[in-house]
Amino acid sequence: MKNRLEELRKERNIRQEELAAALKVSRQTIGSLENGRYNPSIILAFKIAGYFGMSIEEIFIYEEDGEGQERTEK
Amino acid sequence: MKKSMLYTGMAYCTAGLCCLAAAVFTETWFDGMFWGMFGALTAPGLLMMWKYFHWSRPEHQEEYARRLEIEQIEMQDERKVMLRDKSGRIVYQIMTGVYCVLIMAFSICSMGGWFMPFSLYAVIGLTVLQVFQWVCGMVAFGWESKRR
Repeated sequence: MKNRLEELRKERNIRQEELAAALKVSRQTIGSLENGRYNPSIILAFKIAGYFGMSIEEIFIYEEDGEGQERTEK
Repeated sequence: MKKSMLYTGMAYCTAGLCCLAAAVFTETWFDGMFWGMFGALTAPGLLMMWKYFHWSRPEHQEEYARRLEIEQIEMQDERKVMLRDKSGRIVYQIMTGVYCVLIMAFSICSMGGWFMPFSLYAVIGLTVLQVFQWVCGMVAFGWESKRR
């Protein structure tokens, strides 16, 4: 899942370590979230959204895969 | 640091010293085990006691609080929990394969009369272990399914 985590973090001049400490996760988790290798749980997604004062949809971009889009169009 | 660390360390040392006494003052066929238990119990016991006294000092309090916080985050971090669970599953699958290969190998040895009776006991023991692992996996899965 794509996200704007890195973009938002850099806008606010926050280091990965600081964001990790605020969310009570490891720095490696922040790194994996930013490069899309790991998708957060719903609870962590809410915590991230709350930290940035935004909604989940504004941070995480959910894209239907090709199969899902075809079914919707039919 | 919690006092339980000190008490646990003292208990380990006491048990270790009891094993030492048993090894020195008795003569049985498992003296070697007593010597081994002495080392295995006393060393961690002394380490636990040292850790308690070291981290209880006022000058180390801040560093200890920081390490404790990092440890708690590492334990509860959801990605690391997921990685530990996945690693466990991978090791389970690898060990299942290893058991199967070893059972086959020792069965062949047993049929050929090589390394008897060790190969026969190995086949029986490994088969029991494999079945036990499988049953434990089923029980754990069922228990987790009911919980969540």
